[in-house]
Amino acid sequence: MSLNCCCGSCYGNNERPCCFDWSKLPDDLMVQILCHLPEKPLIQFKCVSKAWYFLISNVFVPRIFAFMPLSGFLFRWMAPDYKYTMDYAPLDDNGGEGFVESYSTLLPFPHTGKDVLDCCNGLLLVVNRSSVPVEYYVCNPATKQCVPIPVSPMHLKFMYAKLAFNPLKSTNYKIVHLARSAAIASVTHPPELDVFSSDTGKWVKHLVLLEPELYGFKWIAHSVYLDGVLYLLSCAMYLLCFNLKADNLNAQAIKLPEIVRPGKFPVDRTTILRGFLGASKEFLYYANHIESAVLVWSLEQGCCKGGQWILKHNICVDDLAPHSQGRIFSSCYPLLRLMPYALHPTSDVIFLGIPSMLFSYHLKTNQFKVIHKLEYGRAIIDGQYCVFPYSRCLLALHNFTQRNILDRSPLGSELVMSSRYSTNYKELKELGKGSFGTVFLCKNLLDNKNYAVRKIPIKDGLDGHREKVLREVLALSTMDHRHVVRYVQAWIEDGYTVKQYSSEEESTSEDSVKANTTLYIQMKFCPRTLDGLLESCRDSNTVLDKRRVWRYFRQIVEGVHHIHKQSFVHQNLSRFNIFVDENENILIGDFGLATFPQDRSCGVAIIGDADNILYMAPELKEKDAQVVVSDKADIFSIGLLLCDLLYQFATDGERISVFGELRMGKFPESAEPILKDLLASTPLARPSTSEILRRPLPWGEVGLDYDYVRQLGDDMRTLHLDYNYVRHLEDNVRTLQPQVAEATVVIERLENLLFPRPLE
Amino acid sequence: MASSIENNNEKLTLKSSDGEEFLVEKHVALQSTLLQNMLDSDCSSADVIPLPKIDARTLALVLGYCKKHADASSSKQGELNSFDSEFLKDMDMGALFNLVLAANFMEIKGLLDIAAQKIADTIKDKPHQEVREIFHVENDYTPEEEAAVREENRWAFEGFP
Repeated sequence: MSLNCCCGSCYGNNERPCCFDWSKLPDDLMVQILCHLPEKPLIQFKCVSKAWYFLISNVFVPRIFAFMPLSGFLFRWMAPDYKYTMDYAPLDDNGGEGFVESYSTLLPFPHTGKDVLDCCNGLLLVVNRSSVPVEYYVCNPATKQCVPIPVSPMHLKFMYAKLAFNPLKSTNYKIVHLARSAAIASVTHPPELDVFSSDTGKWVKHLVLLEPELYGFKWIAHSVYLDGVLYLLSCAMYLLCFNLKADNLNAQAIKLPEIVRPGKFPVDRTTILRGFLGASKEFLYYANHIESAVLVWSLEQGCCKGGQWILKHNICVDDLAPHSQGRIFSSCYPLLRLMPYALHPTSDVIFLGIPSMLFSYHLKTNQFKVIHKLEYGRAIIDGQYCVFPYSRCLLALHNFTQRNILDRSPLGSELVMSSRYSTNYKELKELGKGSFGTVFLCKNLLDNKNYAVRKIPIKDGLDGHREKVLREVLALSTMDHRHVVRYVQAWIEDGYTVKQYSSEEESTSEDSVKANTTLYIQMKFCPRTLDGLLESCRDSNTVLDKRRVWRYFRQIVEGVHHIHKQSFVHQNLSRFNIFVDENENILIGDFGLATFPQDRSCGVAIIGDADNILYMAPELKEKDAQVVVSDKADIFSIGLLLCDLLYQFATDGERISVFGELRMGKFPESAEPILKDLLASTPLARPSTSEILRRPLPWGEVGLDYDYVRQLGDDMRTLHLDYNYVRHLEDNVRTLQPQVAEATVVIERLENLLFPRPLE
Repeated sequence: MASSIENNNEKLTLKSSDGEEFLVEKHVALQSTLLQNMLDSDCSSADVIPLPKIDARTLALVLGYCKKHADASSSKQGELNSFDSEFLKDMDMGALFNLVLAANFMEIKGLLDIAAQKIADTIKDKPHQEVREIFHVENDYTPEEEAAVREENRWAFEGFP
């Protein structure tokens, strides 16, 4: 009898147990075999080949998820001391211990009870609340993974973010970040949603054009993702639908079912806030109360065809009365309100609760079961928004290798919640007080060096205050220049009086920081300001020589050039926040008013102290909010600083009066010609920093030192240097050549600049 | 022998890919949904039914399985289970693969399940490199790519050498 293998050659050969041609096994048979494997070996076999990888990732992982039972609920509770804790309630009695640890230990920052924003089909969206800009992480507790989402520098503030993921439809997920608050949005400035896609690894901005125009209403910080559409509730009593697959989001608003309470005003504000949104078996459900009953509607025909609400269930507290636990509820109403917390994704079970208990209720069989009882004193927080059903999903998360400019900044990863300030620093003395916090001279007990630490209280009530403060951090963290104050690190510390959690507003309130939250910014300590230097010259009756004047001026312009190159406008340049270090080099500090291109009009809202106002460009002083702040505002301040350096006024009075005249366009005949340009009243007439650097000014007096040469090379590519200046630099560098190794490189670059491409 | 089939003597002939013919009782053949459909649509039951994808050795095994399951009454589930495990016990990988293919072709769900389960049980504790050899899969990863996939799925390797 001939023994034939399916490949026709080698069946029965004992040395090789099998010669099976893999390609002949149909995919469905492969699936038949692999689906008998336990989870771990199955996932291991992704390493076999690329074909296996795709088969397992795209077929098995969704398939396993489809059969994965609901395992439990992630929820938040509040202790009597108002502290929040994230917890997990397993659906079965066994398991569930250590679930919170399974993801919180993966986070690169200290875990708090408020950092999980969403849980969608097995994945968790986590935010680092103390980072600026906002850092998001996606965690998969089942695969023990936590991946940082690329940071968008525009996300200065966390207001609302949601995760959209359904492995049965796609193995990609999306993150939706609310970029402009819906409450302050208008028709001309509609809300903005930034959507991150895991397949592209990029954020894309979408304007939300609502139909009807429901602007100025807050949104409830809870959403449901169903079939590519993100649903959330607007306080205008509408359901909002955003189709994340459509480029324009195809925003729709559907009126919520009307709730008529006998003998009461039809709809009050709190009605919407008690509303619940959930999904089960491919349908969207909305639930709310009438008296002690919970009404559940389903949205028929989806959002696209102007969906209709159908009342599906009316759960009366009395229905629960036969159950021993249920009697508690009916006797407690209205003190304890029965809240819908979640829907079972695949069966007719609704999860209801009161603050101290979570239970399930079968809508068809009336079966009632307690799932979780909280310890005395603990209460589930906003269950209708914050009880997340969890089912394991074996999706492997990809790390986004894309490098972001902010990656190198220590922000975020180094931020801690414990009082780092009091343990690591010794406060030596107060250096100064400004509109943006107080600066202390501190000794860092770790390296025994002195630093300037700015303490900025983050004010809760003041609109936009937090954003402005954080902008300084953002500005600082992107600056890396020899003439910009070296930023070391920044962190936020929360006081321990926790604000009462409020469900009355959208997530902005949940996120709102307590009154005693402080932002700390550690910077290099510069003992001498330009003001101090000029004062001491005046006191000792000495005058800065021309060489030093132009050298300082050059360095200020170079520093500002770098700031402008990062798309920031300093807005607050003055002799009080420009420092001179021990090597007589300029350092620009204090980015309190720095703005970046997205909101160029908000710098005018806060006016600095009187001394700083003296240097402000005229357009900044106008309180007209429509004024667009451009980087030319800094040029005006540079002009006044040049005056300061050149004329070294004998008294402050003289300085103020001269500045006043210059502002009115009165220039002394002996004035440097560039002053007229720098101090032009129309911003557009002022030269840019690179234009100033190209001017044939007496740059020849600029000195060189080791650090200067070392860093010069970096500027070569971006800075158009004046021919004479380059020539001069070359000479200087040549004299330095024996001592500075880098000088040779710099000379080469300088020569390249000089010869093949003479200046324009 | 207990059987609920009316005509115990009705037999049909199956022909393997290598030309060997097997005479089987009809109620045994009915374990295969493929054969059942053929008989239902009256595809000339008297003729020889060719099974071009199944060699004689595999077909013999398949029919052995079918006979046991057709003859056993439903109350003897325990006996069947022990037969199944014994049936596959010392089978090598090549035979198992052919069995899976044959069970799939002849649509014998029970056999497909136990054979696939047997293969899965055999490979589940093997490192992926060995699985690659068993299945004769070409490794199209670069070492870096393979390391990256392993890293991405590190949790699944925990507790494995």
